[in-house]
Amino acid sequence: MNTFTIKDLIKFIKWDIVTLMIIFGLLSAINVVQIDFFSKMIASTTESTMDNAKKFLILSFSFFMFGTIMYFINNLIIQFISKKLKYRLIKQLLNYSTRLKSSTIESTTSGVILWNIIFNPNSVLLALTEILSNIGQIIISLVLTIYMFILNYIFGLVMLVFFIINITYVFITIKKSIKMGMILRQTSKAYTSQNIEIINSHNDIKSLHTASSIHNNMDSIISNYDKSRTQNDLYRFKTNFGSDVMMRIFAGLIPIILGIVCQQYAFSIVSAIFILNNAQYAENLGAQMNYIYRLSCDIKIYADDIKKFTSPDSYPIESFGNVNILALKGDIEFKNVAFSYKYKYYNDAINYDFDKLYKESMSKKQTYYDIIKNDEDSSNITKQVFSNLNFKINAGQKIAFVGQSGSGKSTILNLIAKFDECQSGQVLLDGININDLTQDTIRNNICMVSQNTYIFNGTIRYNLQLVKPNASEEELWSACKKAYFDEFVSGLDKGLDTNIGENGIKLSGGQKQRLAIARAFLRDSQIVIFDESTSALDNEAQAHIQKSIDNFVGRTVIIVAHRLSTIINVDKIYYLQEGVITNSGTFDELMKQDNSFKELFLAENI
Amino acid sequence: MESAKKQNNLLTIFGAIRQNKLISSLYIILSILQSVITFFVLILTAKAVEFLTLENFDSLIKCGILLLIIFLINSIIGYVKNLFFVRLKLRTLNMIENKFIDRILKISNDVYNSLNLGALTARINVAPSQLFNYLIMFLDTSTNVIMQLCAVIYIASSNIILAGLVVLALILIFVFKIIIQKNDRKNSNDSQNSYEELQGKTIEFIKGNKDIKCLSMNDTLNAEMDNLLKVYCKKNFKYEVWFYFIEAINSIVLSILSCAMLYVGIILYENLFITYFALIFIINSYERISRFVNKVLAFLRLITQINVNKKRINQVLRDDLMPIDTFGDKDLVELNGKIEFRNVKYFYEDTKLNQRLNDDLKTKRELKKLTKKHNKDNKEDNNLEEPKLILNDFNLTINPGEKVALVGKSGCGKSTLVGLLTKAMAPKSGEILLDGVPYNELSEDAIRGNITVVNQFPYIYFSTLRDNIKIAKPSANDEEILQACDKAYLTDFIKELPYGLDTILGENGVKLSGGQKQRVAIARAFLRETKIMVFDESTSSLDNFVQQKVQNSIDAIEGRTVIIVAHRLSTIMNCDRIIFIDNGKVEAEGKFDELMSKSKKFAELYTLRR
Repeated sequence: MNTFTIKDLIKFIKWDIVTLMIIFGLLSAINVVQIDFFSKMIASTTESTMDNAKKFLILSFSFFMFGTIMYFINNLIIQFISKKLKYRLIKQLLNYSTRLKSSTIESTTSGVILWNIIFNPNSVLLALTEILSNIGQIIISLVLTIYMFILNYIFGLVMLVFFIINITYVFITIKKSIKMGMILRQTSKAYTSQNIEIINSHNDIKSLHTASSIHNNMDSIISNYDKSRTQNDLYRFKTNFGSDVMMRIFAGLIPIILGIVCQQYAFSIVSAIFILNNAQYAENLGAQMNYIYRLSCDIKIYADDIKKFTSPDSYPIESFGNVNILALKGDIEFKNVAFSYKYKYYNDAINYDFDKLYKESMSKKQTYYDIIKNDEDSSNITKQVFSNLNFKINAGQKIAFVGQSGSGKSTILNLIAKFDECQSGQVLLDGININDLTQDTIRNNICMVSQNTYIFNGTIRYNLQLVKPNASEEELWSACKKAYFDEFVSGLDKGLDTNIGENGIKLSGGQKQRLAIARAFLRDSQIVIFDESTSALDNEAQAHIQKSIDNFVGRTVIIVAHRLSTIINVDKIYYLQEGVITNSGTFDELMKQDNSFKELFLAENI
Repeated sequence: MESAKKQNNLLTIFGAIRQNKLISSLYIILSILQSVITFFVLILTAKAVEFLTLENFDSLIKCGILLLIIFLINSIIGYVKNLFFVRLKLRTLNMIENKFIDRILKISNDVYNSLNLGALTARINVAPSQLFNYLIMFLDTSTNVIMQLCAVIYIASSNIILAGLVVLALILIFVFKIIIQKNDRKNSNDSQNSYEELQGKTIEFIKGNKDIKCLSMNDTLNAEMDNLLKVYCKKNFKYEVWFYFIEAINSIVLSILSCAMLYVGIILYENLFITYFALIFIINSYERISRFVNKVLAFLRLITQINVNKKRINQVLRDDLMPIDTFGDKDLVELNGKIEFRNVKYFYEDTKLNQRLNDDLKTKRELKKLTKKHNKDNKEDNNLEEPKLILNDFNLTINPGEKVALVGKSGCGKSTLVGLLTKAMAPKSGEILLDGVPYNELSEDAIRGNITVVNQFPYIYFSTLRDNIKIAKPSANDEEILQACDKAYLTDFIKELPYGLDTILGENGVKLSGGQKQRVAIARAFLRETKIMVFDESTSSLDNFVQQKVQNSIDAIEGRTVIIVAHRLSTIMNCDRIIFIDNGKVEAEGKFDELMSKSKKFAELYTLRR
């Protein structure tokens, strides 16, 4: 998906809108005819031609019913458009979100991403649907108004003047309105994000008895949210009041004008009755146009946000090359790799001081975006992890990276799996620059078990089958067995079909890790990466998994572990210190050669 | 059902009105005033038409001036009413939002364990504004209906035929309502359920994004999301279209009735049973009646919607569905830190919460049908086996100031013990005593205020490092924070951060390594320094050097009861006592060397690695 624009959206529903317009046209025609018949009916009763009156009555109501059916069809089409667009838009945004760099997602909250994927499109479509259903009314009003304009030009001129004043007024006030809408969106995002965070951190809140301070924090978020809601509402009501008064004055003037016109000129009474009976349409036209203009501002407010979300400049996405290799051999090489870590975060999720934001955004010519952007840009600080890293792993080797936290181990893994890209130098897989390889090549051949793996809400079977949808019962069990997870599963009443809750909440840390490892075994890709994935296991389980990892024959296995006892058997250990490989070799070699490594190992076994 | 009625913190429309009596009544009064004015406007407009037909233009102009004034007054009233609207909105939303926050901070872990948290978030996020919208709609529509009713009664009382038709239309509407309400309810629930599901899954999708890429689970999950999205769009479509469909049917029925009425009117006038003025009156008021009847139907449907949503919202607030942690009222002034577990039993109860929540949304009749079917299907399911006990008659005494290690295979119940300690969960039987006082009698402050738990996977908030640590003790100054960081060996890490303590950490600390997260959590604990400190696998992701440093800090804790849950030998070596748990019981206890010789299972666990 390219950057989202309203134009694309409209283009997509081009033909639906054409159909809708035809029906609108028909609907207004029916309306005019129906109203015409109705006034004829009244006229007939005045003239005491009762048969005509009856005829016109029936005709009028038949057209009315016809109109009702058309109106329903009209709504049906609008809802259909809304459904179609909603599906398309949310789907596009979901797809886009899968392409986002992990670092992008990590720089903001899930509340903000959720806003971008679901709330924004829903808000845009709500406003769009509202506009579409009001267009019908507007067309009807417009047709009748023009008809009245033709009937009497003095009346028409007065009407025109009022319209022009009204529209100018709305035009002047709208800019502030949009700014306020943006602040409201911001405070609402903070509220959603915080809600999600509270629910997800419920256990820690209880562990630290910190409910009251969390509540205080939330109070300030709610108070900001309240302030922006109130300001927003008040401003809207104020401007609405302005245009309402104008249109009311116009409405009051109608009988006066009609009185004068009929007095001064020989104006047909039937036309005058028609105008008086239908003047409300002309009045409404002003209010409706006002309303539609405000709705389109809503669309602008939320569409801008979607636009920002879908532009790679602000939310960077992953990029891949086009060399496709079905099965990699598993050679990995780093050549003069330099990498700096970026501290970036999105201010979208932050609970801003409302008063400050309001003041700055309203007084200066700055919009909310400028303020946010300035802050975000200053948050762009980099920290160098490697300046020149070189190593080569041969296919089928079992490798471990060892070093203190912060020495760059996880970064190496992220570079291999292409969650990050190096700033200079090359990462080569099978001798090919990783930037030239396709997404499938990388993702299908590399599998990583991260240290804090995510378990989806559902059964154990579901979580395993996510990796391999058509895995047989046998494959599932053998993966569990390799991960030393089978004993636990078979002890459960429902076995593989046991529900384990969101993020595996019903499992212990060790069980979660074993499930994650089972997923990796099931996946069975050419390069397997274990990032601290056995830290929560007891010694017995760890020893077993160690054996299972040894069973990865012919695969390139990379392990990062703090507990050095888990990497005794690997082919080669790289010892990292502050972004530099200071030593490498087998476990025994390192124990002999490297004192600092030896100390690290001994610290574990005092 | 019954307990739902007993509880008095549930949200209702009337409750919200009662809480804001003054504003609501002023709002209602202004609404009524507006309706009265609208009524005058209608009379004046009818008069204007009459003057026009009678070619009495002077009166017409006067009529217009009067209308102008009334319109302006109406606008002003409308503006003032909106000011009350803003007040009411502020108050109601604030009340509801606070209620929810209070609630989610208290809901028991048992509930959290069996819920889709994303769906819960969706409900909590949408609920306040939804309930407020209904509140306003209720106020507006009900005043409107009542005012229109007055007008209709006035109209009907002047003409028997009109009266008869009003009654007929109303009877039809009520029958109509009964026919459609089941579908109304179902569509609304379906649409909202599908939305909650979609949002829940989306949050998971976002949270699991890295694992999805790591394991290339994209295709499967995309298909699943696609499916949920389709269902959501479809259900929403159905909900909306059904709404318009009924409106259309209603409108057609009403127009047939109105047409018949006018026809009768014309015939009556033709035969000189009524005056011309009466006929014009009928013609002018038919729309009023049909509009009124439409409003009545809309009002009835609104009530159905309110009931559906009230039920959904209140599910979160109901004690029988989502129990909260309950506490006694006994405070402990000076805690020694003695903990006793007496015959504690615990097992994960499959509360079938999701199913119960769904069942709760159904009507009694639907439920009856369902249970009948269910009983037929699941006859064997009734003799369920005993749930698997995680703790089985667990007995343990920990003395004040003691350093104790809990050891055992993963999944043996260590973390459950920790959960029981903070009363995030309650034992199924048996009791826990703190300084000899049973847990059930103790206040929240007595328990949670005295116990700090550092979890294995602590939650880090999307805010600065300072705020993340300070959360444990809001009054702490920088010096205290830095001291706590020093103990958790975070000082070097802070120096590396671009803004030091003011650096923003990602949601759930995604930017931090597991070890860094754990150290932040440990810093929180050191900042709090409660009488009882529990470290639940809290150093598992630290490298050996850092682990040693942090361990030294933990070992240096004095005069407090310290409980350490760990696998790593070096972590537990220095404890006063190691308690080995197996099969939900204390299998053996003592010093490390004693245990190695005393317990075969323990020895197995710790020899394998060498």
